[in-house]
This record gives sequence, C-alpha cells and structure tokens, in this order.
Amino acid sequence: MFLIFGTPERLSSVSQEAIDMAKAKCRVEIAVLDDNPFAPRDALVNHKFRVTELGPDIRTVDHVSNYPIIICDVAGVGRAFGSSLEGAHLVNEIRKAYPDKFLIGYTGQTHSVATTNALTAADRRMAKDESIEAWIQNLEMGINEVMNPRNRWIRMRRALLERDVELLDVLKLEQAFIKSVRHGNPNVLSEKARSLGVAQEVTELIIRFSATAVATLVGKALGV
Amino acid sequence: MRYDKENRKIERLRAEVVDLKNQNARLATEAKDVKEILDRTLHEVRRFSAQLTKFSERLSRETESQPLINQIAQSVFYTAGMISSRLAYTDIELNPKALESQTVVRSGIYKKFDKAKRILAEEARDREVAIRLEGESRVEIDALPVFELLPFVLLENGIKYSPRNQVVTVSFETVANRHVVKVSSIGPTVADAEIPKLFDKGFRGSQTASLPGEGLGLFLAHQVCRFHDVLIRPEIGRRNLYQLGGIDYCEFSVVLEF
Repeated sequence: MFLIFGTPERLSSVSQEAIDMAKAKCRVEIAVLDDNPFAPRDALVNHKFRVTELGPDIRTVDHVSNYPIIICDVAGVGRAFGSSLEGAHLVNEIRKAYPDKFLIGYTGQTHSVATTNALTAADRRMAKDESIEAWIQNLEMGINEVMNPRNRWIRMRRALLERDVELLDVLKLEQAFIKSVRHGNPNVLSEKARSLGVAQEVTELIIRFSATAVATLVGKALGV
Repeated sequence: MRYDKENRKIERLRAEVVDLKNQNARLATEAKDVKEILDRTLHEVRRFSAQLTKFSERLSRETESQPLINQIAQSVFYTAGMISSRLAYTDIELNPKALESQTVVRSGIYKKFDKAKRILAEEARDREVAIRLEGESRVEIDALPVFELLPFVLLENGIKYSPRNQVVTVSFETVANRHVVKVSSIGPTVADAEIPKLFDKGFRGSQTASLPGEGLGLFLAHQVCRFHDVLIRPEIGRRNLYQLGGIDYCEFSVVLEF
C-alpha cells in the first residue's frame, strides 16, 4: 500500500532569486586555506567581502563548518589528511562532508592537467594571480548560490541521490527542509533525517547541513 | 661461418636495443625533470604576479592625490595583469581543460585598448610613436583572461614596426551591427603572397626579417580572437610609401569584428 495525502510544497516557494549583495556580503564568511598570505585579501576586503584566513593546517573538515564559501589552495595545504593531492584532496573531503558549500580551488598550477582533474569537486578553479574582477565575480556567484535556500538544497539533494537515498525519502527530507526554512527551525530537518531510518552517513550529512546551512538560512530570514 | 655473421648481427641489434632503451629512460627522466621545473617555476611566477598585483593595487589606491606616482602605480598594476594573461595563455597551450576553467569577465573593449596604451606609453615615447584612440565604444564582451593580450600585441606591433614620428591609430565604430576596431599604422610592406601567412606561428615577412621579433604577436592575437569568436583580418593600404634602412613601408591595419 502506498498512501500520501496532501500536496507537497514546492521548493521554488523558498527560492530567493534576487539578493541584496551588499547585505549578503556582510553575512557570508569566506574561509581561505593557504600556506601563504592570501594576496587578493586586501582588495576583496575593500570590496566588503568578509575574508578569514585559516592557514594551511586544518585537522578536520569540521574546522570549516561555519563558512559557506571556502577558497582552498592546493600546494602545502591539508597535509594532515595524508594525501599527495594536498589541498585538492581537502576540497574533495569538504565536498563529501558539506555538499552545499561553494568551493573555490585555487592554484599556481592551472597549467597542470593532473591538478585540474584533482579539483573537479570545486565549483570554480582559479589561478593564484587571477584578476580582482574574476575574484569578485566568482565570490558574488558563490554568495548568490549559498544565500538562496533553493540552490543550497539542490546541492544537498544531488548528494543524497548520489548516495542512493530513495526518491521518496529525498522528497520527505525536502519537505522538512522547506518547513525548516519557513518556520525558522533547523531542527525540523534534522529530526526528519533521524526518523526516516536512512543510512547513518546520510543522517550525519543532513544533521551537519541543518546545523550549518539551514541555521544560516534561517538566521538570514530572521535578519540575524 | 654464416651463423657467426648472423650471430654478430643479432648481438649488434641487441646492443642497439639496449642503447635505445637507455636513451628512452634518460629522455623520460629529463622530461620529468623539465616538467617539475616548469611546475615549480609557473607556480612561483604566479605567486609573485599575485603579490605584484596586490602591492601595485595598494599603491595606486594610496597615491590617488599624486597623479604622477599614481600613473606609474597603475602601469605596474596593468603590467602585472599582463603577466597573468600571458600565463593564462600558457595554461591553454599546456592544459586542454584550462579554457573551461578560466573565469570569463564582462569587459569593455575600449577600456582594454586604453589599458594596453597605458602599459606601452613609455615604449611608444622612447620610439617617438604616438598612440591615438579614435571614436567611442561602450561595447562589452565576455572576456577570458587571455583577452588582454589582443590589444597589447596589436599596439606593441604597431609601435615596434612604425618608423619614428608616426601614429598608431585605434578606431572604434559600428558597421552593420558589428563593432569594428581597426588598429592602423605604418609598417614594413607585406607582399600579397605573405598575407595568408601573417597569423602563422613564427612567420616573419621578408621586409621584417632584419627587425627584432619572433613572429608570435599576430599568431597570439589570432588565437585570442578564435577563443572569443572575433573576426580578425589584415588590411594593406598604400604600398611603397617610402624606404628607410632598406625596408619598404606601407599602410598596415589589423581589423577586428566583434
């Protein structure tokens, strides 16, 4: 027997197509992982971006949980993770734990096919000496992406489907997400994940998403 | 007797195979070493280029009230941008995926030519050549980082090949819904048979053989146009205007259609 009553809420109902970029820039924190000082920092701060340099030595991906946008260098970064791909490996790991984040992989080796291939998990690949205009454009694109609840969920939805979560469960989670954003309560989604009986890895993914992304989106809706 | 001869031949061939294998291994090691040097060098150059951009940007911001210093700071800033653009082209040469990674930025064509003019101002002054931008343009295109190379190499070529006291003119106009930019100058005469080869890599006309250059400028310009769907063609005006130092000069233009 298969019974579902009522009409599901449309995801587009929580979409936010036009955002106030000036306000959004003040709210979105951007983390930089690099073993050298981040050269475009001053110029970006002058353009009102909030940039925080975390250095190269993060030990777990949870260190970046509060940052919706992450800029990650390749060489000399994330060595604690033990991969020869260094920062590119870290980008992959962050992507696995936080599929909704906007990731920029940047490197001095944009000429290298191997580095380019290793950075496929990044939303954007950039050169170390990219122009300020290019940085602004990509960061504004990232802010648009992470401040729009619809887009943020679509990233998460894709990750759920890649992890073989049943379509019906994805729909239920999506409804819980919409409710979370509408009612300003991130717990609605995390509780739904716990009650659904999906794989532990998926439950943890959703709980992390609720605690970071949903909490931010809810805070934004409340103006905090 | 016959077997001995065959055996000696086999031995010789075996020795040749061993030698070729050794050569192959040596070349593979050399290629690996060169790649490592290239990787490290490009990485470092990019890092320095980013630093140069950072410092010159700060300097140009903090010297707004001192026009002369500010102009120099701007020139350094723009020149740093040229290093980036040139490296972006190297990326495309070495990495087939580089084009799809590069960030496209909406950019004004006039502004790009004006920027190249500023970078080359001193070189033009040294060679007593003036650069003049004529007409108006508010046309913008989606430009890759390598786009900067196009106005730069066209103006640089104009300056390099012009006799002294000449003008390199860049005109902007709209013709039949297409935005046309024409870079005109006096340059060494180009023979009819040479025109189709002007955009070939390493090509140098017979009249430019004695002048410095590697035949890369117009090749690069053509490549950049290809990446941006811009039509590029040479236009030869009056030939045999005069002769200087054994070189015949003519009216030469490069026309870009956006």
